[in-house]
Amino acid sequence: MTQFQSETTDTGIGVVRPVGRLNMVAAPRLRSLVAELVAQGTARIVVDLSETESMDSSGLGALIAGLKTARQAGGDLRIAGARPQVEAVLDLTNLRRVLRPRPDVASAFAGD
Amino acid sequence: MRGGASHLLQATAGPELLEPVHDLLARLWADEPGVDERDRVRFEIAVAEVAANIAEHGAGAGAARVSLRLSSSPDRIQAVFEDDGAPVEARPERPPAGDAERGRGLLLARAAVDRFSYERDGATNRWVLVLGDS
Repeated sequence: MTQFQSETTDTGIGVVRPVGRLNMVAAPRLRSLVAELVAQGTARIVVDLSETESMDSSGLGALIAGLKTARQAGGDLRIAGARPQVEAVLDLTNLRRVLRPRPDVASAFAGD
Repeated sequence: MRGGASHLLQATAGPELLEPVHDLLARLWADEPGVDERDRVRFEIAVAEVAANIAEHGAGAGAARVSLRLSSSPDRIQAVFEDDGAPVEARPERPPAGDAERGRGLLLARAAVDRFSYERDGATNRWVLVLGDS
């Protein structure tokens, strides 16, 4: 079962970490977690994929939904720590420009 | 040199299909340690997308049973899914808009492997995915 860890950093950035597979079972929970964070006023969000074993098109859909939700609230959603499987999904779907992977959580909003 | 491993899964179409599919893939890789990571990743992406499609659409369209056979030979790895769900629209898929949240699954599967085919055979949907010489 995929677990989600979430926290807010002292600079006000929400970090969500899916642990396991980000598939059709887990994707709806990622969507609602991001929506909750944004509703609570945290519109800058990093999804830390360093412990995400694999992601499918449902997981990708949840990230794009989260991106839209965060941007509508004046923030952004960025992904960090992607493993080769997630990198391959981004390449095969030509979404690397929409969801540009950042090396890690610390650098995801660095300089913004 | 790869041997001639073959693994079969028979399951119910639904989200509970997904974990056993990953377990079956793990067994294939245990038999085929020579497959490089890039190929493993691409094959898994395609297999997972077809499994998710059957799990999602099959369950809603009356599919009860699904089988998956993974096999390998010296130059190729192959996955064959068969399910008894409703026929799948075999329309050519165009990439959705960059901000679309759905509609990428089978396109992603097609892009990940060297050969992807779908056919309706009587009351059965048959999906064949091949990486390597086809």
